[in-house]
Amino acid sequence: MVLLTSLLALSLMNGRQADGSLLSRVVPIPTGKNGYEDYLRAADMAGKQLWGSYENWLGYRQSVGSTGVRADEEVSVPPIPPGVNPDMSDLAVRKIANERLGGGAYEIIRVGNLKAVYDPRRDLSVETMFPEFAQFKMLAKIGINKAYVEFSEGRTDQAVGDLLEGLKFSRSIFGGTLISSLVSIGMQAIFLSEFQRHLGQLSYSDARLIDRTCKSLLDTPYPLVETYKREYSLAVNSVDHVIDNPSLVLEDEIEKAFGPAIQNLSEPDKHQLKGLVLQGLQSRYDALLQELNEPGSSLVRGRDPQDPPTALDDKSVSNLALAMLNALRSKSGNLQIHRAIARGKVQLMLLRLHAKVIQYHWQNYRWPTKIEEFADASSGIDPYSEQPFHYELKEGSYRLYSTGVPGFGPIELKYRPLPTPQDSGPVPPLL
Amino acid sequence: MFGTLALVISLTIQQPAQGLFERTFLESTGRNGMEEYVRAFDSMQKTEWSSYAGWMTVEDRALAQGKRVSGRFVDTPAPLSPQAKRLEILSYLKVRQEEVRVFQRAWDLVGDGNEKPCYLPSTMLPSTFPIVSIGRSISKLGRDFAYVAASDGRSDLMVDYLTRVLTFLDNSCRSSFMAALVSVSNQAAVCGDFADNLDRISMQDAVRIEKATSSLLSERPSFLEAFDAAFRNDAANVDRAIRSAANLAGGSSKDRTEQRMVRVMHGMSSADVEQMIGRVQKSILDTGLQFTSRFSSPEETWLSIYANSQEPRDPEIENQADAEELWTSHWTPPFVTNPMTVARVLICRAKLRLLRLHSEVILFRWNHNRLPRNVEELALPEGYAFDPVSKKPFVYEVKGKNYRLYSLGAKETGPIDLGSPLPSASDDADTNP
Repeated sequence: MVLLTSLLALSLMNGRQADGSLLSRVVPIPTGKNGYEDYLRAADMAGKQLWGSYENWLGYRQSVGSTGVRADEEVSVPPIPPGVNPDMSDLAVRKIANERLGGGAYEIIRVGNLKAVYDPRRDLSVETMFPEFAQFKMLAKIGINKAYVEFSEGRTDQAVGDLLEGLKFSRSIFGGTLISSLVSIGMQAIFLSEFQRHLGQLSYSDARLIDRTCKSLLDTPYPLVETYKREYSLAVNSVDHVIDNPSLVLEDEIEKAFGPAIQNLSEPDKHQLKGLVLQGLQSRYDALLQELNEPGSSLVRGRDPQDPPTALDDKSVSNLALAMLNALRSKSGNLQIHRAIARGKVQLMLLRLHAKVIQYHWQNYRWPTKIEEFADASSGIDPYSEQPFHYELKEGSYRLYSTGVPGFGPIELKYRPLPTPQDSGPVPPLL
Repeated sequence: MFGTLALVISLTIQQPAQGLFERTFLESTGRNGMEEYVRAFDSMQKTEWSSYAGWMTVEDRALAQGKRVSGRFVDTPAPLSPQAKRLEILSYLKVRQEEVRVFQRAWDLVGDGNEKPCYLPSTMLPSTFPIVSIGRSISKLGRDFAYVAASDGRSDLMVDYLTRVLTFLDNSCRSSFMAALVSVSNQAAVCGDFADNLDRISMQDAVRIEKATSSLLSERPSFLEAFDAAFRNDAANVDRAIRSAANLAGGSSKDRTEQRMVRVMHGMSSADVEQMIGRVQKSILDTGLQFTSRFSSPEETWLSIYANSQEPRDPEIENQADAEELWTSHWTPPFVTNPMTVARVLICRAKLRLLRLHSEVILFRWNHNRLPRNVEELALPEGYAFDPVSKKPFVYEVKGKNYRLYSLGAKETGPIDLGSPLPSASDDADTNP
């Protein structure tokens, strides 16, 4: 599965340089019924370069502001973004960026979220590019900037609404391909980090809305079976092309050893190689489907099957097929992907639980003393540890975290009320 | 006279059960904020305010068993009214939401009262005016309005309501010394609410807080007007006490001080008593003038006013000079000798300054997306960072992603932060004058 991952990683970079409207490149004939088209339209509206100039400027200002700059220190000053005066506060810059980029794009995303969303590309091939993912991540950053401005103006309902639309947007692009799923999890983390910063600002109605939206997102199954099926189809359809161009998937050292041998195979040997690779892919796909039928916790506890090492001096067709199969399997392994998805799910569950704690506090004018007071079995149990999430009262506030997904350690969204200094505690936040 | 009588009769007919307003004001002047506050209070009493103020859940009531629980009034009259019974099964938020709906008119009246100067009518004895109930009830009402506004995500309204309570307290506390005492503890509670909600404060909210606190701090301190009023009231009422003592002839009173006064006045002629009343009244007013004028010095010297002041002579001393001195000494308001009153006032003023500084930190944080490294980075107007209680700058410490802001305080106050409670009432003899 590394084939698609590598190609898409390349496409993420290409996305920064490609010209023309994303919508026209990805969906030549828009249907108006697919929310994905709206996301592409929003990305077109935001443009490719403008946000980067504001982001660089804000990053520069943060680094100068938080650490101070010594007289002898050379600081590379980025270009001043449009509409910005160097004396402006960060918030003023954020407002300008929001006026130019935020409002319209998020209205379009909101419309897209109301529709069915699917990857408009019917067929994938090794030549397929995915330039939109880089800009989708940019839209996530534009979204949290918009929310920051709204929070600063006391419009918490709008800020929460925008962040929740962002979470829906992130979730809608999950599936289709593994890389889009990982982009989806990454975008979700961006939105959750902004929620974490503003938990102390949430009103009762904000908390209720978050609770409802997170429940809806968590109740929607992650379409992993469909995603793997599509990945499998792509791999199967690409075998001929990969055999003809082994450098597309083989690492340098292996490509050096096997590349010429593969290209010089006779037609019958190539046919045999293709058969072996297809057989191996089918076997791996069957194993994956079996894994996906297991309970969630065992998916993240297992170990990736260890492929036999490739002997570089063995140029037999079966060994060449093994090398091709090893390369086509994800280097990071499905286990790591499952863990990333699991972590994303736990983070979303934690946000929902924070919303429940905050609702409880508003309703009762005190923090709950134990998790049973605000969560039921469906929301209070960590599906990966199969234990209740950890909740404790602490210095007039509370702490809530998951002992974590194996391989990632504890996961926490922190509630940080402003006036009370908090002990950082042993569990680091992962957001 | 007939006109007044007719008005009283008409009021009696319209409202058989007289409210405080009718008992306090013969007629509405429309120029006294206290009239609106009393109207608000009356309207609250008529709508079973005690059921809302004394609300507890069934479980809490069982736990409290008649004991006082921090932050809530549990001395609800028993048996519970049908209204209270209905409320006890609701959540805290539901009760407050209903309170907002039911008492909107009363809350609007408080806003109207804040627009006018505030004083007690001359016909009203401060000792018979229920200022404690009024101050506590209206403050609680405003804080509950703020709670509901915050729960709705309306931080702008929350800030408006809490500052409205602060203005009410500042305005009403000028009317009497007792009102000033009530105001201090309620101001501290409002500051505690601000401390609980600092996270919710937006840019615009912070600007409004800065303006409101600066305005409250820049005026002549309202408690000084309460001190003035206390001396004036004492001077106005001492004549009745002296005449009453003069008529006791031989001392049937069980009060030892009163017995001593009666003894000292024994044999004085009516003319001498009348002359003495005039001198005692003048002496009380002079003492008041002298005392309050000391507070025109900078705030950081206020606590030392007590250290340097001469203790008034003790009326217990047998060789007390004469009746006049005895009366003057006995009628000196307790805050003249007890520094805790001014210490509590200073704590509240420090809290207002801390609230103003918090608003500056919050403004900085929104503007720069980080906390200031130190107070200097805030570029504050002159005097904002100076704490008159400790006579040093306020302390600002950054701890990770949070910060702490407090006053080192003085011996009489201890350290002060925005949410810290006042010294307990038992430390303050003035609360029971």
